[in-house]
Amino acid sequence: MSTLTEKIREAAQKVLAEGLAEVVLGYTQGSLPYRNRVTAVNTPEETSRLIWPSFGVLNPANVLHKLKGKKVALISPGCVSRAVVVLCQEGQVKRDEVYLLGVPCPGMLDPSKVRDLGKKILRVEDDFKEKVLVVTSEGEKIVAREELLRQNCLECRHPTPPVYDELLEGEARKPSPSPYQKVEEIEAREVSARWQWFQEAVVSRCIRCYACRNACPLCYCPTCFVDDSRPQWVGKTRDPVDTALYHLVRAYHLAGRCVDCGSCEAACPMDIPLRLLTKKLEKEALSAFSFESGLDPEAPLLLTTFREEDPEDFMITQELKALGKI
Amino acid sequence: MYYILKREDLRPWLEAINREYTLFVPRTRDGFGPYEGELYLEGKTRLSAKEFFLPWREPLLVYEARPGALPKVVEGPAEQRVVFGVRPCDARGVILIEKVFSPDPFWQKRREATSLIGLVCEEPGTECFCWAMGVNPFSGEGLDLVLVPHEEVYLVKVITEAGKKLLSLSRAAEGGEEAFLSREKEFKAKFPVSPALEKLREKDLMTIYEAPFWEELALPCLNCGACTFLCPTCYCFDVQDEVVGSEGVRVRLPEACMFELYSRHASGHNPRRSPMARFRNRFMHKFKYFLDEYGEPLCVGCGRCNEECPANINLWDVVRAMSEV
Repeated sequence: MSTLTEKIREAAQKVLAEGLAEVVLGYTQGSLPYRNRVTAVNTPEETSRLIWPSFGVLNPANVLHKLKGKKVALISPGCVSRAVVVLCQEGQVKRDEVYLLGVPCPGMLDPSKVRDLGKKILRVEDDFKEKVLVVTSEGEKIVAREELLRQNCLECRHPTPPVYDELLEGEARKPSPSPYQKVEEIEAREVSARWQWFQEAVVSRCIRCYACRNACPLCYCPTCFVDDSRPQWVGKTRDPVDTALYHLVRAYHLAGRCVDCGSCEAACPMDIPLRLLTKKLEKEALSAFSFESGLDPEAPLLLTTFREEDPEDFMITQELKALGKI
Repeated sequence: MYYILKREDLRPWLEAINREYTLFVPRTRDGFGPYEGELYLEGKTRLSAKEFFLPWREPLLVYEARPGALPKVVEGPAEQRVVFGVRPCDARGVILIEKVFSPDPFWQKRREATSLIGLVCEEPGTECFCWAMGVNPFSGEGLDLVLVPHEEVYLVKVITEAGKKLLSLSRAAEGGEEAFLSREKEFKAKFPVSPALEKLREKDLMTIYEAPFWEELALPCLNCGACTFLCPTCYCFDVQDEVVGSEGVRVRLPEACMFELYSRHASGHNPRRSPMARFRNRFMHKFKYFLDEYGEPLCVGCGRCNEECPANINLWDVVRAMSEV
């Protein structure tokens, strides 16, 4: 058993026994060797179900809305803590209604990368440091952890939670030195090639199941714009125009808010690289406003803040000014 | 009638079919498409063959958007198609959906215009359990031909006249009955039907409906549509009016019972407002309502839901709970 799992169980027991929370949200083993499941634990006895996962790809903060009225503790690596912070900033969750059991995160593995290692995956043993042993129907493979990590973990700038009530001991991954490499690869292309990428990689393959939206801990509108029927803003079929609109609006709704937990991409049954859209907006927020989301529950939100020195070079009037037209 | 087709004769056969008909094949892991050389045979596709019969946009009628104008019913699709590489579970899914859709003229037209060539799996996939749901992949149910990969050849069973005609375009030779039947016998002996089905038949509907396990099992569910859209037996739909200017089209499209909007009434009332109620409905439909109505579960054991569910909801956790409550 990994020591992090032991620490989590111990901490969860204490939290429940001392009444610091009524429920602990974390992960448990899934039905496949490369899947983990979000679980809610209500008693100290049940904490034996909790694990520190290799494949904790969904953000448990997403379940908070189902537990309204209860004080909830969350097993929180960086991205879980940051999602809760944004929810606090946006008035969805009160800071004193959640207990953040911080975990310095070694990064999670990508289920698709592991699944592709053999016909049938029988067992996965992760040392949470360097190596992963994958037992497949064809034999055993030892793979460097780095090669199997999720893309958002490879690009993570905050593996250690910035906000917590208690931080478990452990070794986090080092913050990524090049978080925007994949975004820059797309940015380097011509406009038409970027549009083509969006159409081929995202729009044409989407089946409109909304797993990306539903998995997002920060998508909480009581009625999503795609579900409005009076008026209906977006067509409901897989027509490319409607699908493109859905993805663009979904991404823009996360501008200055997304914490890059990667739940959207992990949830997608078609493996669409959805994160690139929100990652691009994250990069914009950082380069234009030196802003990173989810770091301080008391800090103002990016989109509700105005500073005189904010750059305005994206405004049409700026262009006209530069041309001497106004 | 049984035949043997050499593996190297598969491609030339597909080319021959493609010259006479519009041929669709599994092109990538994503799903089926027109045959252009690409062929994915390593396992089942993510999107099932139901897409041929319940497309993502089925125009039903067209109309002029002005008072008094009468709508015109759309002539359904009539193009003759052949689909190769349909897994027996998917074909069985078509049969199950047909129990509900058989009176629908659009469904009928698509069925009449489509021949299905089945391909039995080399071995069960990680999450496969067709046998547990009573599917016999060797039966050829819902198919015109069924192919079984066997050593260096495909064993072929002819199911319909249309299938026989298609096979005549190949270099297949008569024979292989014994091998086919022994493979079928072997499969049946190794893979039994799940005893849970019998228990579900006998269980009182309300006992399952009101059982306490639903809340716990539904907790991680995202209520997205991944399972329903990938499922080869989920057939729920929505009807929408698409109006541009004065021209309107009424279309039918796949919809998911997991969505709040699906069960929301015009009044605003929603009988399945809670995420748990929608989760429960999906499984009750598959393993109780449909089972009671038609004698069979609305599941073919393809395992796509178990494999792709973002929240790792496992169908067997639910079926077990339902059958043992």
